[in-house]
Amino acid sequence: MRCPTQVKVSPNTLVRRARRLSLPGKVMVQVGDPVEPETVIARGPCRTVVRVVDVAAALNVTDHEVTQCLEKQVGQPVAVGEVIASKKGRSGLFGRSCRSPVNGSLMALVRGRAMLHVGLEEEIELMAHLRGAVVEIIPDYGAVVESWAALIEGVWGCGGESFGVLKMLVTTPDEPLSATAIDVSSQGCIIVGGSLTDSVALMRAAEVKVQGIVIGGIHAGLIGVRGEFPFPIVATDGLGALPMSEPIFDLLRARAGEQAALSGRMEHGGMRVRPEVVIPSAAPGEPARRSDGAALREGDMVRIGREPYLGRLGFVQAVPPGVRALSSGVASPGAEIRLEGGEVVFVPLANLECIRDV
Amino acid sequence: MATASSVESILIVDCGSTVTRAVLIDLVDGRYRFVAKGEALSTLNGADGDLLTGVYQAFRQVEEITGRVLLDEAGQLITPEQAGAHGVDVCLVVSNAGRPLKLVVVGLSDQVSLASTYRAVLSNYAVVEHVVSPDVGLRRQRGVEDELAQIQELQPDVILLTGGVDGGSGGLLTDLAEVVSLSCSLLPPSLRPRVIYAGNNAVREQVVDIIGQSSEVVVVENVRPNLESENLEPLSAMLNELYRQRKLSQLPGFETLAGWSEVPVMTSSRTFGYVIKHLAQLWGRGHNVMGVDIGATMTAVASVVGDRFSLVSRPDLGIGWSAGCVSSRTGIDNIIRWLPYDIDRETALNRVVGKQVRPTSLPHTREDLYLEQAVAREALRLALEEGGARRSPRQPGGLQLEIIVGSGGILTHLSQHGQAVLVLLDAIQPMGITTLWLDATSLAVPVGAVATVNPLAATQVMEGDAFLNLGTAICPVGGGVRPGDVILRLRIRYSDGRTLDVEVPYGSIEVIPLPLGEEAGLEVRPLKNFDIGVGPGRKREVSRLVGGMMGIIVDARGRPLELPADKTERLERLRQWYSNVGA
Repeated sequence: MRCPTQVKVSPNTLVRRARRLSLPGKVMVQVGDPVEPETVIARGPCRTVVRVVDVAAALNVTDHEVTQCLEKQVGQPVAVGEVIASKKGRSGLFGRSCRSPVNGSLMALVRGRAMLHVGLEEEIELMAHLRGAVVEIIPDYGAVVESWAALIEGVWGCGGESFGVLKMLVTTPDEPLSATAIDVSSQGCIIVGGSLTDSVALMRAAEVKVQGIVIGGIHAGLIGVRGEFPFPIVATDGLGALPMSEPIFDLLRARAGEQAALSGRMEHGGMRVRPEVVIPSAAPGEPARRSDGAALREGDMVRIGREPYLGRLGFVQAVPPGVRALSSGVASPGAEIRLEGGEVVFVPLANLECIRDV
Repeated sequence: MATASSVESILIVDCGSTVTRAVLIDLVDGRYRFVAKGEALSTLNGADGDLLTGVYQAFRQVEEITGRVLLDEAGQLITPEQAGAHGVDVCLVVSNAGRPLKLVVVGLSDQVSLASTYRAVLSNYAVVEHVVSPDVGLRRQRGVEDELAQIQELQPDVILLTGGVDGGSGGLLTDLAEVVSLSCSLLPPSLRPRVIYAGNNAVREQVVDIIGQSSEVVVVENVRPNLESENLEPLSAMLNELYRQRKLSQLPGFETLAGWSEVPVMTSSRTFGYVIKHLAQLWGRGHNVMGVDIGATMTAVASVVGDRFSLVSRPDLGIGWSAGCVSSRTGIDNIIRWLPYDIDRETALNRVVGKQVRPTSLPHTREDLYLEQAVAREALRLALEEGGARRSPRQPGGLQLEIIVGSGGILTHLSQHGQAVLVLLDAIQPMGITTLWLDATSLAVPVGAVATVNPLAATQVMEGDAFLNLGTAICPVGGGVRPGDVILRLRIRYSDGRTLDVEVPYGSIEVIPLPLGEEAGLEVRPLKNFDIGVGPGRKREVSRLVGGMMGIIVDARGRPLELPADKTERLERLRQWYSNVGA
């Protein structure tokens, strides 16, 4: 039976990430270049700026009369202060003119209003976001960066991307992240806690300017609040006051103090993606022994994704054939899972997540 | 292309965002019958990132059940069917696996052209991200700059330009066309949206000239040719086509699937609409039919009321990937109000949003199942409201429907059919006498696909295999009574000669046995001016009522259904209702 959901938790795996501008720009790196998180991969425009000038109002004419007053044609450049259109007064006196407030070009005239193409807004710099090497160029848009790194996939995330030093603010995976633990030494760091249920902690993190938050569970009521905060948040285990899974907590603790890259995105390029933590390693690792998508087998470590065992870890004891009725009345194929503590429970396959080093 | 008369075996592949199904229909003893179904989790977003992996798994299940070999050694579908039951005569592919189309709508008037445009959009897998209109800020100088910036940032898939009745003056429309053209020109060619013009036909050429300079523009018939009528189908069909081109065709594995399909790949929501249309045609004119499909990514409502067909497809109201959206739209309290147990708001919100991050997970506990069903009620209620549920002109206060078809795992994967009955009655709140059907084997979408190429096959499968009769609901409408007052008297005349007389009090929901397939006569006498669809106080007779899984369900809880504000009272009432229907 195939494992339906897999969560990657790997201490050292080959990570490839495409770094790509949304609009064409200039690629600043070449294949083989080593990169750090702040290395600029590409520069590109944010967006094109257009200024609208109400010529009809400036000249006190109707929309239709504006065309007769134009001194610039569509497509022609205009300089700041240059006359776009003018109207002579009676007997040549007291005429009016409309001048361009910007340097640009006349794109179009719509209902008496001139659309001036100003140019490109400030450039954005697309950074590598993680330490590694360029292995492929995406012409005009960016590059693919590759790195041997620890990889932890989350289940929920928000915000964009960031990077910073990983800092543990709790000593056990079930300890909630508290505002009192977040001080100025967390500035610029990606802070780690067991769970996030407290908006005060969130606000404190914003005050000290952390680079991101990684927790096991986040209270759903904070999700509306997080829109005001400028850093990504990744929940590794789910919604609610869930502790962080031990293998994930242990991996983060082992790598505390190192540079990490955080992505809170749950969608990219029209596809659903997992939020993640990537911690580049000092040395390459070994390729994973089992390929992604392998069958569920006895001894596999799994995490349970629904009540009544939400967030609990266990090991597959058996995968019986057929379906079994749950207490909800729904019938489903499933597996017998031995939980920490020794209890063996039947869990539908759909509620299992294989924790895999791939 | 195989002709309908030469086709015996039909394989329908339905790739959803969560589940992929393969359904085999074949000619058995001269009639088309449902033969086998394979089902697997969709594999688009997982490690495989390819539609075909899930499809192959579903195929393997069909092969195991039937002994039929579907694929050749190269992994290609065998068509037509070969000797030895290899392959199938025809394959049809249906999918909503791509993300919804992102739209910007540009129009003249909120009340006229834009309103009709929204209705056309509602029947497609699309989301309106932004609206540009002279009614909304476009007059201001700063407004145009903001709109151009906004469109650049959104990078929509499609810009819809509508407005003006046919033959009217089009000055404002051509100005809007200039704004659309400008906004397209600000984006690099590879990111420019397609533009659909669905407005005043008098300025079509001008609009095409203006916009054609910067983007590809398609013209369809005006959605609002005059103030009195609207014409939604051409725009709706074009949106459907663009969804296929811009969203589905980008999915890994889609090209192979499309190559197997006898006709262009259809969207799941439209094929669901086809099956409801087909059903309404079979029942004949004057019978109102509604189908609801509550899925992980989408809730769809298709109905034929009078002569009008309506399809609402809401990608933001699914109960899996969009569960959090449903909760934020309706509020967690509106979800909790349906639960027959006490739960705090924080826990409920965590579980509802938790379903969004694990959309393929199943409810293990009874409490979790009820919570998912509560989300389903609200998703369906919102879809009905926002789509404008049609009401019978005779009964302005109620929705009269002959048949309601319920589809979607939240209704069909249940051991107790009373739960499905409650979800449908609570959300739709029909009045009069309605038969409830359940799409128990998830055949509605496949049958809808088949209906487009082989209506006979669709009819025979629908009649024989597709739907399970849940029962007949009797829903009186009226007021001015107290809970416990008798408002209805029923007489059931069973086929074995027995007669059963029942009095139904206001505020209750009662189940009267009538076994599946058994026939009975029914006489309903409403009291105290209550109405069961033929006028206040008038009795109604049904000479031949066919029993369903739940028999006869009398829903005397009132319309509109109001739940007690007091929590203790509400819990007690809900527990009683759940108990009465065996939920």
